[in-house]
Amino acid sequence: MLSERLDIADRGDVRCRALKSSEEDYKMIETLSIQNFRCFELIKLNDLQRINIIVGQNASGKTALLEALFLAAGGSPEVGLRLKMWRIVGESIEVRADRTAFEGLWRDMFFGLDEARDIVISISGSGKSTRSVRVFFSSKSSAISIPVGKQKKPAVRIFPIVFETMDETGKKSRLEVIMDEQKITVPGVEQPSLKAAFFPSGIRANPGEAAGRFSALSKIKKDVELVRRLQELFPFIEGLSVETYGAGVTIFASVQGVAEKLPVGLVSEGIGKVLNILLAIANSPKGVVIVDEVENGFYFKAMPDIWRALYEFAVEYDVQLFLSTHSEECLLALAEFAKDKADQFSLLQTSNAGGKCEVRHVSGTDFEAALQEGVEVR
Amino acid sequence: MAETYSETRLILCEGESDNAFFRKLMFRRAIGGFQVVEPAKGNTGFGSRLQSIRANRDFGKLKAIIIVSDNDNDLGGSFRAVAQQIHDAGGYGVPRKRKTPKRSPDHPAVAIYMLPSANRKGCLETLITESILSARPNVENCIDDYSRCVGSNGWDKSKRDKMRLHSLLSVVCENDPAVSTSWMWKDEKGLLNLLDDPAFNQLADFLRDFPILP
Repeated sequence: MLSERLDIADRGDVRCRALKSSEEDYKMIETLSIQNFRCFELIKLNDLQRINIIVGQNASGKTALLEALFLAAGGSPEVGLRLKMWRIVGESIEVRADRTAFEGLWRDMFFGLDEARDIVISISGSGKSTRSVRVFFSSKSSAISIPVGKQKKPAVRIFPIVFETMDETGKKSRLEVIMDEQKITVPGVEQPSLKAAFFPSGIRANPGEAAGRFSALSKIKKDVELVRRLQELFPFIEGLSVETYGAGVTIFASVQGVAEKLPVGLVSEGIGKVLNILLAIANSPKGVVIVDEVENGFYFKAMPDIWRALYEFAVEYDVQLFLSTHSEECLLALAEFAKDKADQFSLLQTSNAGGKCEVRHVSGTDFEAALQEGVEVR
Repeated sequence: MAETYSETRLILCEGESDNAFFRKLMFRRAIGGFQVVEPAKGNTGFGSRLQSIRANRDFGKLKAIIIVSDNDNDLGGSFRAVAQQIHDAGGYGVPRKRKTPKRSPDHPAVAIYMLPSANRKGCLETLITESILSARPNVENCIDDYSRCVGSNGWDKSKRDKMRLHSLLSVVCENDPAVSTSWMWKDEKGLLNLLDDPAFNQLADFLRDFPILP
């Protein structure tokens, strides 16, 4: 059996260059609709806010909701493959060069594993702007993979999977993904996208990527503000810098009482996580930052200050946050912080009934009232 | 507070002592189909409580919410204050009349029951006081004399009745003269027969006859 490893850069962000017009006119996402994606047959969410908290039991669709948003933002097959790697297969995907394997690679994205029904994910902003991604197997075109070389194998007929995006002007971009004996091929067509970063649960952010983000911020002299924010949360951090580490680069922290700088990840996983999220916010202006299980790695007493830092950074960079959590302490900390900011928040409660997930939207004012009164909302 | 709704009709009161009363009244009078939920934080907390109920995952199951509040010294003003809170909570139907449920799309109906009754000043303690005096008519003159003596006769109706109730409870509950209005309905206090008093008939009839909404 011929197997090929498909390696994809371990990046948690989608930085396809946005069309200039869409970037300038981009408004905060207000609605999200998902059709035939993972456990969602059809949902539509309105009144999304600056900070959107997602809660729900295991297997109720929290992560799938975040993935849908990430896919809508990026709209590319690479995003689809990256989601699969994060959720299922790890750092690389092994595929056989046959139609079943190729379709199987994408099949779990479709509701009920039914690839006959198109995936459609749409987001729309404050104005009339809308962008969407449609994913489907093309029945109109097919590719024939003809093996060459010593090992003679039969030709393989593959129906391409298509990622068709539409921007707010109605302009469509279409990417057809095919596979031959050596690789999966994605045509290099530039797509419109909005800036989005995704932090999946249980997967550490790439240190080199974080260093790149910090460097980008440093070049425009905005690193000082970032360091100040971090010091508010963790006063023993004296400073940050990008240093070589092994074959790559990573962010080092200068820590009170320690003679040498240390990689941030060695100082504390929680500090590294806050730093990575703040960096993603700062590097995704007018975009979206998505964090699955935001509470992981944070000491509970630090949560109110972390909420404040995330919120204020999100406002400063005009970034929308979508954060899932299982933690009551995390929500109670939000109660302390969210007073008088209810209109900046919304709560999304996911549930699963017989394999079909639903999402219930709760307004920020109702969410705040529930938090203030200690009502269970998870 | 992990509140789940096992009934489709909720009773929302001002405080814990009201809750204790309603639970026992319904049990004593075999009135079913209602769930007494965590109370509002006083008579100004209904709006926030309605919002928090809407954030509950079981909200979609609900058919009706009965808000129970006190008339105190201002029959019209107290009702309007509750109605205003319902309005401010947004989304809910705002009742224009006492005891009449009002619906709005995607929300359970809301009804307001004002204590002691629609056209009387006072509060829940007014009714309980009446029930005790029915059972112990011989102490009525005593409590009136005491009220005059300590100068509480000039107080507002609700405050006067609360004071009278606390004084009477100390008299009628010999095994626990310090019993509170929240704990007076514990079985061992021996006061449950008070709930059979006609003073509570109007309230019990309202609950029993409350429509089961589709």
